[in-house]
Amino acid sequence: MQSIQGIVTIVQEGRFQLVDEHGVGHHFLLSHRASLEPEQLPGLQRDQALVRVWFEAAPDLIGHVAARIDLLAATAPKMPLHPAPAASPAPAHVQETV
Amino acid sequence: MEMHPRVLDYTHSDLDGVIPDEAELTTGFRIVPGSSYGFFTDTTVCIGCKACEVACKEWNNLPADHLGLTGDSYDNTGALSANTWRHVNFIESAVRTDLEQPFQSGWLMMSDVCKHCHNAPCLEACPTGALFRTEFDTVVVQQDICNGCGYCVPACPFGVVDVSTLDGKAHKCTLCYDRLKGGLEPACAKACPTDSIQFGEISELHLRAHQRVTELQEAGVASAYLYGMPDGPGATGGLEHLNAFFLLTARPEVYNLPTAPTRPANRVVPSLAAGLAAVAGLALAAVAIFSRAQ
Amino acid sequence: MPEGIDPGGELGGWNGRTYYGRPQVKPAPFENSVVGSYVFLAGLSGAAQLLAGLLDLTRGPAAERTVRRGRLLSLLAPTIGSACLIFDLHTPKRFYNMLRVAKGTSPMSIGTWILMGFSGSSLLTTAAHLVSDRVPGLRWLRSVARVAQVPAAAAGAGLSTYTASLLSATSTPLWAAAPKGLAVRFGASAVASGAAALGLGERRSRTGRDLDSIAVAALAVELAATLASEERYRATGVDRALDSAAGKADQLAGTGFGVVLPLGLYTASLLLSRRRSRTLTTAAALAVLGGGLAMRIGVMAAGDESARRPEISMGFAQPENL
Repeated sequence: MQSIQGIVTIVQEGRFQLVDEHGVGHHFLLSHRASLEPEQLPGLQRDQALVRVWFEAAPDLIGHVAARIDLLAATAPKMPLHPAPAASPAPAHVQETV
Repeated sequence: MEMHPRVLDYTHSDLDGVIPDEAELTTGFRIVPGSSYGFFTDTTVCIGCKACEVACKEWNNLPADHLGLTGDSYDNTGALSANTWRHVNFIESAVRTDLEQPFQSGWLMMSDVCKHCHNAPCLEACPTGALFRTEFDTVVVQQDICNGCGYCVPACPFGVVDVSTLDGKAHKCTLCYDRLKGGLEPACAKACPTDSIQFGEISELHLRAHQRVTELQEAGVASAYLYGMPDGPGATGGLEHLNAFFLLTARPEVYNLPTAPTRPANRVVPSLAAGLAAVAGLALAAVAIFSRAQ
Repeated sequence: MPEGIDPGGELGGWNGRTYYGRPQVKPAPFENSVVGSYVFLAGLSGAAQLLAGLLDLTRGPAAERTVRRGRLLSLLAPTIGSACLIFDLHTPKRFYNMLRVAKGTSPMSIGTWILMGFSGSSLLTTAAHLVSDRVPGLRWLRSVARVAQVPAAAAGAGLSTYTASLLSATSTPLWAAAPKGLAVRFGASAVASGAAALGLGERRSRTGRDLDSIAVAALAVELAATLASEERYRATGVDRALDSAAGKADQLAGTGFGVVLPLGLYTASLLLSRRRSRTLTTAAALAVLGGGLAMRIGVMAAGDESARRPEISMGFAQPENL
């Protein structure tokens, strides 16, 4: 099974977005076979935890089905949430959610 | 729609947070728990831009599905499903039979969505209580309770709710329950550039809809009517009314809607009674047969 | 038709046109062979318990062996049947959420509680009966079984027919068109299956002939209900779903093989010989059981087909059918 490491940035019901070290966002649906329950996902997003997601391909969808989530670090390494205004625009690693 | 006076409090473009009771500014309605909210969709001003589909996908973090082209006019989404909660229907109907230059006057476009029925069949069918009626009179599936039995799927007379085989639960439009709790109008209604999708309090929307039908009929559109009003098409057979109702200009079947759907729960008692009566009758016959003297 | 419901004279009646041939309602996501098996086992278990109870109350110890067989058969629904149901859930680990509510508008909720009641009381009757057989000092458990069989039989009657109301309380055209006919079909088929299964264990006994007679009565009722249902399907325009492979399988395997054939075989056995013909009755019983299973699966598959075809579901959702 493939896996991606990153930070959970957006959570809605049983779906979440993971941003990896290159700043690329990946979309996941939580499989019913995963031991994690949907209500545990917002906690991961709040803590900006570093996780590794093991997933399978989803047919006819642009997204993946997450089978397992391993917690690597309780919170992500320190990084600025807003890019500095004067500096050249750097890709934001984390998105703020309303 | 006139501008709400509070709009002048937010004229700067860099806001540091959500505007409190934003729906008051964008729709004219303050979202108050305990009132009935829904959609009035005026299909005569829909331009088929699909901003509603995109906004719904974006806000609810839904994956893109129904990949590929269908060949059904501009409708490449196809149908509502577990990951598609807004679906724009396109029907190109022939209007001109003369030899004048054809122009695109025969377009019928409608943004289909969960109807949030007053007597919602999906809610009545749900055996776990996952489907419930919110404080805004909308119908929502609680994702932490649903076990994917799938009974809501055939119950829906409009073919809206669907079970995802990937995450194993039922999904449908929530009328942006999380946005309503924050005082925001649903994403699709906010994104709609022509205000075809109008969010608001149901009784007010009914008034607006009646006014619009009258206006259209006076302008010569004799085929304009409302779908989902009490005792009207779409809200028949015990459904009462649909919180998400439409102004249509062709028969419901043209838009893939049923003209006279029924409330499935009306069939429970007659069916059970008939079955039990038959079994009881056969049981009596059995007693008579078993008790016969040899 | 009521004036308000028809959109208006301007638009005319429905001309049969659909939206690019796309389904208008969605078919149930059930695995038909799995859920159909549950429906069949539920009917068989419920009817076996019911018939065993009636036999015990009318003939008492004289029919003890048959009653024991019935009580053993009643264990099929709580065990294999429940396993089928849990397997069919899309999130099986949350199966216990079915017990969160008791909703009168949902036959699936009603059925969950009927199954719970039946399972508890059937397990009690069967356990009490078997233990009283094996342990000499506990003969009084037989009375416990006699008492517990009453709620078990009542729940068994519910179990044999509630599944039809489950299918009817949906928007699937074939299931919604004849709710009463389907319920009588399922209930009568269950009684026939129960009588057939119990009769398989009988030789040339009087009980055997009685069970054959009950099977004949039940099959006759099932046939009448099937014909009445098909008349309703024709009247509402959903009979085209029966032209599908699933519909034909239901008619051939379910009604032909499962009702008409055994009806003939049982009647022949009852009329032609004073002693019960084991060949005829065994063949009839196997046909009833095989046909009963085929009928449930066929009805579900034909229903799904009717949901997939918009010309059928739109034709059903018209003011004339209200």
